[in-house]
Amino acid sequence: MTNWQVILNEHGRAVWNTAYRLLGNDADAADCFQETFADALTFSRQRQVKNFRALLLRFAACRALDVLRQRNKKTTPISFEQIPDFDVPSSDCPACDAENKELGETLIKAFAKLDKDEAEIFYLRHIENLSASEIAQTFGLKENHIGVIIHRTKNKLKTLLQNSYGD
Amino acid sequence: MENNEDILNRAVDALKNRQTGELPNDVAKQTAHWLKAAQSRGNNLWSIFRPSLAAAVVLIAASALIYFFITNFNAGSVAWADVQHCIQRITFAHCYNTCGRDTEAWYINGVLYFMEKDTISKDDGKTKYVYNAAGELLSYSPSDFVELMLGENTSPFVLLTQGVFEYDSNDVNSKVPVYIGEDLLVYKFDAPKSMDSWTKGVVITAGRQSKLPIYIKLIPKDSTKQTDIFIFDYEKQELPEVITKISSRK
Repeated sequence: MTNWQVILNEHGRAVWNTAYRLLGNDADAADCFQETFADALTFSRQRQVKNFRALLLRFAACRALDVLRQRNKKTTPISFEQIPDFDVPSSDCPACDAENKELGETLIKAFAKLDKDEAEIFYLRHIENLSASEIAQTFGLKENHIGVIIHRTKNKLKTLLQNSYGD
Repeated sequence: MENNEDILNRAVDALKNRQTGELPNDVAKQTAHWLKAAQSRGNNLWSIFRPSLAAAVVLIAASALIYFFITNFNAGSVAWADVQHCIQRITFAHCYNTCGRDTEAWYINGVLYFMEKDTISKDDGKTKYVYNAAGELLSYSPSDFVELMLGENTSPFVLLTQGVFEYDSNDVNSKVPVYIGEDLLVYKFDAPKSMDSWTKGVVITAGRQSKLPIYIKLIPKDSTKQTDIFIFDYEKQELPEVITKISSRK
């Protein structure tokens, strides 16, 4: 029987980081955190889980990206609570910090414009540093396929970033 | 000039380095508790924590506040005692949340009914029945509230108050209205422990004539967040046909 307390202790922090990094506030991150574990529980009842960390991070990214897409769809003025408070560690160059902050936010917005799997896979590979093999296992795809998706996504992101930032 | 690759790399680094803060203890604890409960139950208890249904839980939790006051306030607060006295006789209440959630709830003779989009659920604290918009039974499962069980025959209201409202009765017994208008009585309470992280306090407005709560306002700590307001009425005439149909079944 799965010991969820151990899993929570081991991976809770990583799940929280993923949720908060993408959503930028406690309330949304907390919902995402709980939903992630709910999804994992449901999944584990149907299938054997070989890598809980990868699975949890995938579900967390998936849930958080869903919220981002919802935010993007809203045509009404966005409430302050939904605007991520984007903090990056400060360096000796305040101008660079501000620029990086903006870049990070632009990347998050770009994620919301990608296809679901593309955004999740890119996020897991490049932000969470999961290996292509771990991602492949979690998504039930071949490693080569993951490589292709990442490559394609990278190109899309470059264009999206260029459009909204590079001019 | 910086190329696209560099821009993307910098964006990735910025996101990677984004400060995320500590995992809040209460979130971890709640999740651990729910996981344990769900695992021991072996069914989809988690559904009540999903956003759509979470709205319903909060909605009824607000209603449960009234029940809490019935059972926990003493008669020391005369004005509130009057309200208590009237609430004690309620067998029907309707609650509507204004916080953008499309959920309504009814309390009818100890049974809770929720209406969400195209489904209606009925929960008597033992079993939860789900119906379609025509009132046809779609499924049933153990009550969503049974995890907070005190006893098999306990009202869902009491079950909920045990889980959500944690006032020490000594702290609230002495409360009197902070405002007495021609038509209204306004009571103000500190946030219950379980809502302490996001709620500053609870304001209950009751009709001076009817002495029944008209609305409950949950004031968020973060002033940029929307205030949750729960509007109550006690008019059976307004009961949707489908709820009448479902509630009349044995």
